[in-house]
Amino acid sequence: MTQISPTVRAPRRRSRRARTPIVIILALAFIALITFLALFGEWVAPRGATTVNLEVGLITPTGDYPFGTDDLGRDVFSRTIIGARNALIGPLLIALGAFLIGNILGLAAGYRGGLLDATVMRWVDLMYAFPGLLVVIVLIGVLGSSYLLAVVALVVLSSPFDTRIVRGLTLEQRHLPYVEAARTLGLPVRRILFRHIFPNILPVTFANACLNFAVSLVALSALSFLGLGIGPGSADWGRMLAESRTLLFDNPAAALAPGALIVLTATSMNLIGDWLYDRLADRGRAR
Amino acid sequence: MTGATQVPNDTGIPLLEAVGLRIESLINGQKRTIVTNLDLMLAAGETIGIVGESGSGKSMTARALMGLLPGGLTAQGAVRLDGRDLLQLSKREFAGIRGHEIALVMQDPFTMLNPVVRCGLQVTDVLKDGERRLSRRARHAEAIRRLTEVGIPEAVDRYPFELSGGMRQRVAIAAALAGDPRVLIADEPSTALDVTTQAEILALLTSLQESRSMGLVLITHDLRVAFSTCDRLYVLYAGSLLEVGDAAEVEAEPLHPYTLGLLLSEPPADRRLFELVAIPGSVAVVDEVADRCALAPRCQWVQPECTASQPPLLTVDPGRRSACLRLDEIRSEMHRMHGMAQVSAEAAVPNDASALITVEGLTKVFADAAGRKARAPVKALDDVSIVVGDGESVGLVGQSGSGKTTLARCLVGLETATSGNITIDGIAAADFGRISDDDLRRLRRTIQIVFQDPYSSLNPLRTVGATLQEAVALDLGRGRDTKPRVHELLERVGLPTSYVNRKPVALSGGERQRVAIARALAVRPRLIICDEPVSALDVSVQAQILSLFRTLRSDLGVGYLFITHDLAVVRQVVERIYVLHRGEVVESGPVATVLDHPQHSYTAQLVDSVPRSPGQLARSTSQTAAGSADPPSASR
Repeated sequence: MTQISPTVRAPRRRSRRARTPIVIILALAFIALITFLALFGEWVAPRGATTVNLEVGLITPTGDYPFGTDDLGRDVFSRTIIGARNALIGPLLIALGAFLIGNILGLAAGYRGGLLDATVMRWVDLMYAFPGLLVVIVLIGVLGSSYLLAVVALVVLSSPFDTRIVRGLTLEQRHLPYVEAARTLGLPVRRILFRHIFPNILPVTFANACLNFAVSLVALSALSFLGLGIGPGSADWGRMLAESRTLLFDNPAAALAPGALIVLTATSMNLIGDWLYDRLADRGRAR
Repeated sequence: MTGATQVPNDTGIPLLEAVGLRIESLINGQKRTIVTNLDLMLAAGETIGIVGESGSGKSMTARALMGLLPGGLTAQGAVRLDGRDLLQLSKREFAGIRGHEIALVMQDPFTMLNPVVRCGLQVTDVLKDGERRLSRRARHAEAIRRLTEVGIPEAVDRYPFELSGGMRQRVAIAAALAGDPRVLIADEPSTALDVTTQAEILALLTSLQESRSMGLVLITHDLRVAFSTCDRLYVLYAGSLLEVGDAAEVEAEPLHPYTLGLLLSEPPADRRLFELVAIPGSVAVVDEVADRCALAPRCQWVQPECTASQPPLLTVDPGRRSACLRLDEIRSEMHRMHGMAQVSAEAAVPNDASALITVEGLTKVFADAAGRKARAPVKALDDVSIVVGDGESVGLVGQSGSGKTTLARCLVGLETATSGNITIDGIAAADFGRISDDDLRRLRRTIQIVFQDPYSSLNPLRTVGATLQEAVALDLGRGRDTKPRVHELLERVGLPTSYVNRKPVALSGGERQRVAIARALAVRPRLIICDEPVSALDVSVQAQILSLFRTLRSDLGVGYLFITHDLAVVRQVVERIYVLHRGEVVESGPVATVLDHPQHSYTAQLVDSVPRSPGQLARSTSQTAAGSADPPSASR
């Protein structure tokens, strides 16, 4: 039998990979910083998040108070740092939850087809018809204000989008010869779904999870802003934005700091999601 | 094609000429060579062929001649039309020449025509640009006249989607000829078409070339097509010309090891070869062989001098040029090898093994897909009955749409038949959903499948080792050491064991197909269904895979259900064939009997559509005479 001579083979394409753009490096650095703050905020912040100091009162930024204080004399800088945890944990849970539900339902529906597919997709259609944030507001209005409830509601509301994407991608992969070969070999369905199809559609679904994170960060902040998210008094960017809107003329930094962080975090996550998609989609694809 | 056309002598100006053509690409700051030092000459009324495998640069050469190189690609050297250098022309000047002096017919008739414009208008589009604008009626009449020339006047008021692939290609040819060009470049004009249509399109091109006495440049990967159509051949490999010569002479005696390899790689349709000779390895990358003979890494006669510099294309005999340094030394040996390939092996004799697969009255109807309510359901298989014996190799032949792939998919449970019975090794397997787990496990170890497209039949993210290990684990069971068996499989299919760590992206098409075959072998099946396993591969690689199939058969005793449209391929690997036409079996029997003495008109049409050179035609008639004296064995 003829052995393939190793001197002649398809060219490797390592060198073609572009360098990481500077924007992405900045976005990654920013997310790393925010994550660090979310984990260790209490130890980093110069003052407590709820330490009231009426003697200081409401002041504009100074050297001691980089973002000034609010009407109770609380340090806005410390509150912003400590608030990162509350701001990030919700979106993270939502993105993760929607990712899990979306992938499991989407893979199953796309691969199995038939009644399961029809049922799942009608549920998706139904969820699409709900005006998302309004539903959460009504739910919280009826059941009482709860951060957990808001998170769960947003998971349920955003998972249909993931489901639809995953189902479409699964349908596409399902008819590729490598999946059909796995079926013909008699591999268990679970293995085909999670070892073969899932890794191949991951770039898209992961990028989508990043996007989900950004969207739910804004949504949760909006809920907090309306006073429906996290309890009053606790440090949270959305809540701070709401509480300091009356102070806009006295200390604009009190509202601008959390607002800017919401925008920057959401933007960074979007950029990272897009960039990851391009990178992941490239692996193994090039002919 | 006329034998009388001569290569123009050095004093006469040829119609189209390329001198020292070099094509380079500059993408992301990386410079790559696509074609180097290409000389080409076309006289009026002559047909030349540019023959090459994928990556040889043949399509880019065609585009360079047309001034249609994609962005990032540049051509140097000279392309002269009547002595006028086309490469020096401005875009505007070139636009005046394109369509009127040189025209192009492309491979894919599906994308070459504008889907929302009627065919008649597409043909006469070019004519509007003249000084006089034709009236509506005159244009319609002209369109009919033009379409009559290509044999389909009825297409004038139809849209492209209403036509078949072959008809579309005819419209595309009519459109290309509308400006009455003197040179027509046809880039793989018949490759995307069915075998029977392929022959018609080639015949049409030849007759048009003759009646208009145009120059025709035919670009193809298929030597058989080139021999049947062209006067002179340019053999291109990895961007450089390796051999140039009169088509008949090249066929009779190739003067470069590569041409010889290609010739030997192309299995003949009219006989079974004793041994399939293949060029080892896969097609080289131009820049990797820039400073040496491009074939050196794959050549059996390679010597140190071959890799010292790139050998020039030298005149060997009158009208024959070859770029082989060692031609004088190896010429007689090459001649002997070529002669040996003319000897045909004994026709394979079907054995009388017990039936492994029995298919009875299988019918598969595809209900109309959503949104196409007006269409009637498609009957892909209509009352098909076949038998495949244990260890037997059976061919399933037919053109696209004949239902051969559907049948294969029914056999492995990827599709469920509408009605009829399938029995595999005693298990009723018409509906895989109703088979018990134990039986299903046994079925999976009885039949495996290898698909056509080597690029998508492997999971792009998993290494070769992981892919094979998964299949081996199924066979050996949990917790057993799979490594030795994975290595054994790789060796069986002719791959080094170091490939376990490679991902599919680092493999060539042929290597991927080998891995796919190894995966199918992992569960030790008794039969492998091969669905067009070599049609996506380069010619030189095709023969490697075909001989691998043969070796595996003799070593392991595995049988094949070989699905293909290519009669030459099927002849080399099977004993019996079934001919499928529109979902029905129209003929069956031992492969030699069916192909040499077709009984059904459709089979005869298939056999006739295999491209043959004038030399082959003469030979096959004498063989038929000999064959009738010695009647083939009775069909089973």
